[in-house]
Amino acid sequence: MLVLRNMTIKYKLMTIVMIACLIGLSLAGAAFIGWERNSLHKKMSEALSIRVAMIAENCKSSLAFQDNKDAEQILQSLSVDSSVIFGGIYDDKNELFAAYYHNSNKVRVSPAEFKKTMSTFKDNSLVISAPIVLDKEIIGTVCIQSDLKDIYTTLKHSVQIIIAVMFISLLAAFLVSARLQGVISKPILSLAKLAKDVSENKNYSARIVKQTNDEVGSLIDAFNEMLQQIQMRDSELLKAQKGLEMKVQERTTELSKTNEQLTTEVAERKSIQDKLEETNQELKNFVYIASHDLREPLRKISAFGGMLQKSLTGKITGDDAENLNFMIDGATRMTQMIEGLLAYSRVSTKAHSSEAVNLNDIVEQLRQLELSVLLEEKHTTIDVPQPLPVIDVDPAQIRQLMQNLIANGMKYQAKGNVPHITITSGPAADGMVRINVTDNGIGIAPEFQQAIFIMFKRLHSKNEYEGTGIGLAVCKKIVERNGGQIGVDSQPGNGSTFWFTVPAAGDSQLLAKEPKLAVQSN
Amino acid sequence: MALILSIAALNLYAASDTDKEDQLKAAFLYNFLKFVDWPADKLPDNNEPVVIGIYSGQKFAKMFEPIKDKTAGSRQIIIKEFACAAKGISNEDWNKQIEAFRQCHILFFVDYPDAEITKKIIEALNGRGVLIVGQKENFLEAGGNINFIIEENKLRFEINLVSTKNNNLKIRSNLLKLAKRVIEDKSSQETKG
Repeated sequence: MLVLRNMTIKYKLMTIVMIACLIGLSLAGAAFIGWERNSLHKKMSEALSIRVAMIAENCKSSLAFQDNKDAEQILQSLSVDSSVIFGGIYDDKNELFAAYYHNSNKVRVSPAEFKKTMSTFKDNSLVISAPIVLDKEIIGTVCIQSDLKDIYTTLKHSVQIIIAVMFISLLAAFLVSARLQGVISKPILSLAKLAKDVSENKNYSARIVKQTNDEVGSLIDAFNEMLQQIQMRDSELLKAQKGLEMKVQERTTELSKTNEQLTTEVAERKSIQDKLEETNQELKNFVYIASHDLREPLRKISAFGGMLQKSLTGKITGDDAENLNFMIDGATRMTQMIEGLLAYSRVSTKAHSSEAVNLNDIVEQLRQLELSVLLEEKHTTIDVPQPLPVIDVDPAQIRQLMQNLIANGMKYQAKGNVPHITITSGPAADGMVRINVTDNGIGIAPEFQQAIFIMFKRLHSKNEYEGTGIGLAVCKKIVERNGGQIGVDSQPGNGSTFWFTVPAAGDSQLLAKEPKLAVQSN
Repeated sequence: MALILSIAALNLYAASDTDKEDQLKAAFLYNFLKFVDWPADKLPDNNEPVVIGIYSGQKFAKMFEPIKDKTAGSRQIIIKEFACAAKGISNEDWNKQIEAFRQCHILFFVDYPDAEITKKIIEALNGRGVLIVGQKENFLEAGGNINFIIEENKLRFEINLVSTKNNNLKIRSNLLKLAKRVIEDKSSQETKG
């Protein structure tokens, strides 16, 4: 079967025809041989049965009168049949009474024990026996053995003839099938060839001519239709592809145009930005120079104003004294504002440099130095419940930041309230630390919580709480310069928590955590 | 003692040898029934018994013991023994005896009385459908139908076709071919050998 599978259709068809032919002929031959063998056997046993019956009839008297010579003479008649190899007459005691052997070959035949007609084929021989009946009484048995040589010779001839016929038939079948297989295989082969052509060359316009109206014909029809559909789809696909390509082209041009526009726009923006930055820088420089240069005359005004006030004490009265006070006061405030502007400007202009700073030290120094007078004056306590972390910032700026926030917290208090400041810290996202400065002041309404970080934005009149409106703007600037964020959580009347985030120093977390652990273990 | 025994055994053996021959003869007589056709008036087709007459032989009748219960076809077999007819027999007795002989289908002459009486008996039975069997030389010439002979130590027989024909009997060819000698007509009384 495996061999058959890999054959071409032509040889497959021929092989199948030949095999069918061979099987058919073999079966017919076998049936014929079997039938002939049976009929030969039957014929032979019939002929021998007649012979046996005749002998049985003829030898009745011989047996009755014990004349075995006569019986042998009767048996001699068997010599006309060369296939008979033994003939025997047995008496009623199953003893051999007379015998005949073909060509004097002694063949041992078992004494006939049967008293009725029977025939047996065994050992390539046929044994037939018949009773000798005299007056309704069995007086003996005749037995003839015949070899089957003749039958086998005849059968051999038949087999030879059948084989010859088979050979000729197979030859004829081969020739006929070789010519007729084309009826089936040609359309299939042409179909296969076309399919190969289509798959290799993508030639969907090819068609096969239908020659027959059988299954192959309908297969060819279906194939042709399929090809037509594929061809249609192919052309549609080509069209669509072309359209798509055009669209892509269009889009690409559009995109490049837009891109160009964007590029020019970006360039424009850049130049504008550059100009802006330039202007900004100029403005900063101007502010710095202006405030720096304004300080000197202002200091003179306030210093000499103070001296004038001292020397005029008691000499001027009423409105004059008040006017002088206003003047000195204005000069002082202007000094403060210029100081604030300078601080702000310094934050912006000074080159940024950061290092590891221990915030605990900063707070302690502020408590001892810059804020000591103010703290004592207002009986304020600064509470640091947990050690603060080491942070990676500009030390001067962080000092300014902390000072501003603490001072801010002490400033905005209800009258008679003793300020209390608490500084805590905690981790924030992206390796930052969050520092909280909480006061017990008047608090800030939510709608103003963004505005307070804008320069010169003040919520209260200068009579209520003195201030320049620059402090928190400077704080915001410092935090942003150090890469952090600043904000406030507050409710009016409940105090405020100003918080900011700054980068932690490389080993700050270790420093921050170790004391914590120490506190807990104590 | 041993001597006496051996003599007895010898006698027994001799006796049994002749007995065997006689038994064979009885069997042959029985078989003749199957190869000889009797005329219809002598042996009607009505299952009448067949009569075998043994002329003068009480001893021989014993030999029929094995076949006594046999039948010939569907007919019974009756064995009749006849004493040897003396010479001085009365006419009436003779006729009686002849009449008894005529009833038989086979009459076997075991002993052979003198030739004259034999000839008279055979003549008396002529045409009466009785198969006359004997066992003496020239019995056929004396008018017998079948005569037993010993050939090569085997029991054989010879047939006189002329006398059987006179007795209205038909000998079948099966039997005839076994005969060692057949007398077919008066002119050639010694053809077959």
